Amino acid sequence: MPLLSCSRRAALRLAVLLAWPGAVLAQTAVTLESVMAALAARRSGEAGFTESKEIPELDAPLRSTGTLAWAAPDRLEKHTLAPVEEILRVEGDRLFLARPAQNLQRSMGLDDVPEIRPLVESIRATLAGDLATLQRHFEIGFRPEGTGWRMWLTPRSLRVRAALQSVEITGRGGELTSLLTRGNEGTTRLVITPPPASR
Amino acid sequence: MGVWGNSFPRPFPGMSRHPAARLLGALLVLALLGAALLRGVTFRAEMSDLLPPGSTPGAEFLLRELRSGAATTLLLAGIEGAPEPELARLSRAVAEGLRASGRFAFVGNGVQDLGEAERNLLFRYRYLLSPATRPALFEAPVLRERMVALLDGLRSAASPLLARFGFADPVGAFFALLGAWMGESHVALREGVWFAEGSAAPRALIIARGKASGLDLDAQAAAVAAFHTAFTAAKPAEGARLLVSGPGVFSTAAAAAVRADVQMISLLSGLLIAAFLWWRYRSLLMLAAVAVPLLSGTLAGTLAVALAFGAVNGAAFGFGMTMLGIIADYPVLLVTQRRPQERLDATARRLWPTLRLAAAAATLGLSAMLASGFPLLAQLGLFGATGLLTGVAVTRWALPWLLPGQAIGPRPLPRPLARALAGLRGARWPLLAVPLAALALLAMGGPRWNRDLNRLSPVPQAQRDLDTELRRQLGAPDVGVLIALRGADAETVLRAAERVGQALGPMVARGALGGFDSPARFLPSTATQHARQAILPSAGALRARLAEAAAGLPFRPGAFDRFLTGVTESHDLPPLTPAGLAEAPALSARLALLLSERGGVWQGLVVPSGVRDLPALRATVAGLSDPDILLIEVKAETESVVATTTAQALRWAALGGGAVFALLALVLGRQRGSAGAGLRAALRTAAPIAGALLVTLALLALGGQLLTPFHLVALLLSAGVGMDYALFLGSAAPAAPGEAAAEAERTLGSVLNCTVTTLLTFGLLAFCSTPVLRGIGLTVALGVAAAFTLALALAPRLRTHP
Repeated sequence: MPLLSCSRRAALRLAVLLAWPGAVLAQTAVTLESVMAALAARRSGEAGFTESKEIPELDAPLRSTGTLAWAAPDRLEKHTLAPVEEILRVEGDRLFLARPAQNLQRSMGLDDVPEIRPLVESIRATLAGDLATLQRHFEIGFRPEGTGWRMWLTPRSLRVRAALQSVEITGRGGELTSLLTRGNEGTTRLVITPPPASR
Repeated sequence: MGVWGNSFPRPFPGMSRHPAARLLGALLVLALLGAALLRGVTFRAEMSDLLPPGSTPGAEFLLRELRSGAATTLLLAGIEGAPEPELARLSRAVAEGLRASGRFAFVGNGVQDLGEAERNLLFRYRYLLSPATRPALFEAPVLRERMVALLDGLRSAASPLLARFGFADPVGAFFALLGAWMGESHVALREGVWFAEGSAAPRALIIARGKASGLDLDAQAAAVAAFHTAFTAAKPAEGARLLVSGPGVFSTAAAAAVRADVQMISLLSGLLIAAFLWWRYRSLLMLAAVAVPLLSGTLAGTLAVALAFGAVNGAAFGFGMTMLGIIADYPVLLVTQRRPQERLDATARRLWPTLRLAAAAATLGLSAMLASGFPLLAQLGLFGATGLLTGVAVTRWALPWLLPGQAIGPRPLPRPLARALAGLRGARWPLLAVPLAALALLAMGGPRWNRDLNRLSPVPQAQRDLDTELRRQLGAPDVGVLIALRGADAETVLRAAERVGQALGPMVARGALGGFDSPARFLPSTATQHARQAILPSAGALRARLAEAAAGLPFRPGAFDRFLTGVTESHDLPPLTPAGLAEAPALSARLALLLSERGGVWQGLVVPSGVRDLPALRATVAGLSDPDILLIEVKAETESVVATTTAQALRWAALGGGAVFALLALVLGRQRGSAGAGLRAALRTAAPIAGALLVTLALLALGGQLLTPFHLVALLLSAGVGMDYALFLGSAAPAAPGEAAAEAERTLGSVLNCTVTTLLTFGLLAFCSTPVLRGIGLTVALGVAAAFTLALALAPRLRTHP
């Protein structure tokens, strides 16, 4: 099964990179450009995530876990496994959402609603190391931090900023470690973990 | 042989030093008059002139809608021929340009049409407008159900959207409202703009509604122009095309198509006729002599129509001008039948009784169309009748004066042709064609009549196809059934729409109906809005139910405060009415197509789609037994309109034919001194015409032509032309003993020349792209050829002829 072997290979490479984070960037100073180059060099990858959504109207954050899969140039899949299975896939200019339990499948264009593309590009363009796209949508702040780095994205469009205030991303080398999204509806923290052993 | 004359001796040398001076002077005067007339007369390309009047309430409603309904202000556009991103950019730029032009009440090209002000207005009115507003929605069990669903949704990727609206509207009234609006739209959203779904090459779609009425043609044309201006201003990439459709485009396209056809025909047939006349007469003067009555007739016809109708329809002008090509017959008859040494005015005097009778008969036949009630036919009838009368008068009185001493004569016919024609004269075998034609018609069950309104329109087929395609892609296909509503105010109409909706609901549920569009879907009646306000719980009751519903769920107290406020505010909102929609352009645009006011009367449209059980739909609407709710079956109605018009035109054509026959009998009777002889002579004259009509009808039917009222006009015209032939060929009395053969040959030559010029004009028309012109051309050409052959076959044999 080529698909399986492919993702297994990807997982292996990810594991290698995670094991020697300083291997690539040991001696050089970390800059936005070097991080973007390192990110762009990764053509695919898979990881796990735990997400925690804090919504002002709720008295406890909503937690979920699942897997993330990335394939250059533009395919990103977020597969939530618990508590409710959900598949969110972005590829090209389309977004696909499925919730098997409800037998729900939706697909839409990234530009159908103006707020969606910046939200998607904040993570996708980062994974792709596509600085131009990031800069088109956001003002970017960056600083090295410990063994890794931290990046702040602020939407350029006022209309978008009304819904999405900022995205804060941390990483190590060409790896993302967390995303903090501050929006109108609350704050979402996505922590990226090594892929679940089951895969 | 001189160019301006020929070898005939000039009987009155010196009368005019420049033989062509008067004729050329007359042409110059006519050209100047023509230029002045074309400048002064208003031409219009209004489609409504092409439509017959309606005779039933349904037909009247349809025709009114076609003329000036809300749909007539709608323009549909597609942009294609470039990659998607470029098309999307163009779509946005064009839409922006259109909005900036101020000519449009609404321009739609994607989701962003719902502006913030409009969204806020609709959100504020969500519980009054949404079909979801029902008492159970605000009870604790349903509220709890919705809260659980909200919680679940907040976990999903759609949480930003849900968090934004979900706490203010946990019952989902706003989403239900938007969902009801989207209906069965098949438009795909890509790059943020509408694209046609499932078409091979990408095509961006735009829909725009003009501010001006559908009757304001200048404004319509300006709206179409605004599209092109905006497109050009957007600097489209190589290959990108803008396609625009809609009534505003139709009339322009129709006018352009007719104009192009008429120009092509005038030019080609002019050249051909000139070549033919040159071959027969070897005289440029002959060309000018033919041109003078032709031009005079056309100008007089245009003037008469302009005076009588205020403006000349471009299509009537085009059709009429080509029809008046037959005026060329009169000068040809006059000049060719001149005896050697005879002065032209003497010829004119000699021929006048026959010429006058022929012209009067043809005019009488065409005048019948004035009463047909079909505006375009009436214009054509007046145009033709005036033109013919003017043409014959100019030939009788002006030509002899314009051609003083000029003797133009035809060259002898080529021998084989002359021999063939001589053999045809009095030959009885061509008459066999008549019973054969009758048999063929009988076998085919008579001529077939056109029932399709579209065939009457000069709108090019390609333009109509584009319209159908754009409509389908925008999810607004042509409708087959309409339910028209009428009332003194918007509220009455909206309530009627709601009654219809309630009646249709069960039909949709059991699959007899796919669905329906209704003005009440976009704007419920005030009564319904009041009723929805009445079922909204009080703030206190709702607070208690919310607390009950949220028990055990992780919502903070006050999580649904925005919902509480929204429901409380809804109690006191004044219901939304058409007058209060200034902040809602998208809603207004959708509503305007289904609800409009005209002359103090409000009318609405409920548009069923996917009708699978028409009898049930009929019964359902009939069951409402409201005279202000009318089911209109569009196809059947338009077909009956066409059938009525055709029958009416046929009646008037028959009446015209009868009148012509009576005139013939009267005049010929007076010439011969007895009514009986007159009747016999009239029958003899009418026989070849009747035979020719039969043969023409049979040939048209064999060729698969569906007859329209225009074919009838053409038949009348060819009958009038055929009358000339029958009268001249049948009544050519020898001038002097021994001269009979020469006289008969001159007459035959003149009639043959007439036939050929007519065939050259109308035969070419058969190659037009405008269906109506094609029909006219085919009919006249066939009719004239048949009339010539039969008239010759029925003509008395010449014993003196070798």
